[in-house]
Amino acid sequence: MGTLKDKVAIVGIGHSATDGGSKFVKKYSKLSGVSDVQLALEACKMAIEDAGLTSKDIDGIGCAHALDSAAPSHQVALGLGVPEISFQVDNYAGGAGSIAVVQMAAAAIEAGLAKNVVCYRAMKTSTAGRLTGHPRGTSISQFPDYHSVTGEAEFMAPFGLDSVRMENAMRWKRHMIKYGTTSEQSGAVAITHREHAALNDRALEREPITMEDYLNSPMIMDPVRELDICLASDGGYAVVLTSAESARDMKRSPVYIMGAAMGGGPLPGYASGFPVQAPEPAEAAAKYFSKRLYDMAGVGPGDMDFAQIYDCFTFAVIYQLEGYGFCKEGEGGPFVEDGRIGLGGELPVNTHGGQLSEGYFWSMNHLYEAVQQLRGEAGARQIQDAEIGLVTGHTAQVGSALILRR
Amino acid sequence: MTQYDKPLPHPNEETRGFWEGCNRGELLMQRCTDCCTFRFFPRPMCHVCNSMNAEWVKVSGKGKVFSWVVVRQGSPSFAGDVPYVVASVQLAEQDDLRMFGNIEGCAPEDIELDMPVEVFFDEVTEEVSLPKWKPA
Repeated sequence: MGTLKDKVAIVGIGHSATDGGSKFVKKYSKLSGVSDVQLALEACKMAIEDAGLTSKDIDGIGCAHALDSAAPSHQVALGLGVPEISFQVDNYAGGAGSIAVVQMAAAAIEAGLAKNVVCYRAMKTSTAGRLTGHPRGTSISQFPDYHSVTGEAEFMAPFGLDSVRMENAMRWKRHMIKYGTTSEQSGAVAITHREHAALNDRALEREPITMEDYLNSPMIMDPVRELDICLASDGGYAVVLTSAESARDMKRSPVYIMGAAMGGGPLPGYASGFPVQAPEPAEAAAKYFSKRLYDMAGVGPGDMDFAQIYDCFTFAVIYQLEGYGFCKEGEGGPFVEDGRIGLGGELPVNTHGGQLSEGYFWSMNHLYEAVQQLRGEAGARQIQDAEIGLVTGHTAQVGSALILRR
Repeated sequence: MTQYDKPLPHPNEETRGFWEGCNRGELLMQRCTDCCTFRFFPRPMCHVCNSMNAEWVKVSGKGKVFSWVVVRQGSPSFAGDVPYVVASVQLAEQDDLRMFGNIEGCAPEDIELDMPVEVFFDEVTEEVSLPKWKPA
């Protein structure tokens, strides 16, 4: 069986201007007049320049999107003036999609299909174009066809089950019942993310929060509070990949892909945060593929200097800590207590503040942060001698992950 | 009569049988005619044996609560209903046969895991009856 280990490197990272309607009361972003394509172009331009390349050197492009604000790859390739496209993918896969796209790009490079590939995610969740029924997270209530739904939605929306938040709340409820996980434990995740964001000038929410703030934050859909839900934000992030061989001659120190895997368990429900017929909706997809991931990388969970974990909700971090083997199934709640996931803790998680406090960019911002950490450029957030780290992207029961090294 | 302002199903070729059943006061589930596995949401192929032969079978309408959420801030169409409960109900006929629905007829705080529930049909418009759940 082939492997991607050490074959491909990330040599450039970039982001657009970012902004957010991150308060529960709807606030319009200053980026409301800017298109998602522009945000994608800004991020890609910065990543390509960071790599010491120009858009004329790019021959591959990839992005992930879903039912939402999307900057499709042909528009971004056109905008950049890519001379000839050898590899192109628009991955319709929800939050699991963007890290998966980076894997596809790496596999394409290793297979000789393309040389220099830019991967990005740009989205506007706080203003135009995406699921803006609620300033935090997604709802289909603003869709033009909301009042006449077809397919899976027929069995959800008529009952007022019209947002991913509600489905995820049901998933979380199940975890709480099954394992005794508590609100204080999801609260610890929210608080830690905010502590990290305070050290990150890209973060949209930097004001510290206490457990009292968390417990008093409005109960949106019991057991999910406002502060359990990721931000709504506008912006984009991008990376440039090339072969390990060509990375040696590039401007920046390469960050190598050691391991890559994606997947999930039986009967996934893409449109549903609560796969309706899956054996146990409260488990993390990662349990099905984390062994493949670590086997390719030749390392284990204990070797990670950090984990940048897809955090659409606080509790998504808890499931994934279990699924990636940092603790046993059901023990993710106790794991996040006592500062274990904070900077200086046993496993710093989302050192930039994640989607809960930096912004919701489908973990392409997590990838950006991972590269910064491995380059030693994370400033006040820098983990000393960070060598190896994990980056993940997830929806309910489908996920993708990379292990990176400097 | 005030206009019904909530989402309504727009059935397609795969789902029409389900909604026709609801209008007759029957909860129908799709069952593979080859291996007899139930499936939901309605879909063209059996996930166990890959047969494309299926029939609509009237089920008991009995189930138990698998998980639930109490919506306290909902979409505009449901603003008048909060707090309301949406549950995943596990049907009596098969362990992994579950559907979403509202639980009515009891206080949200009285709902428990595995609580027995039974279906009833709420005729929300002349064309559509929604299957909902109440304590059994």
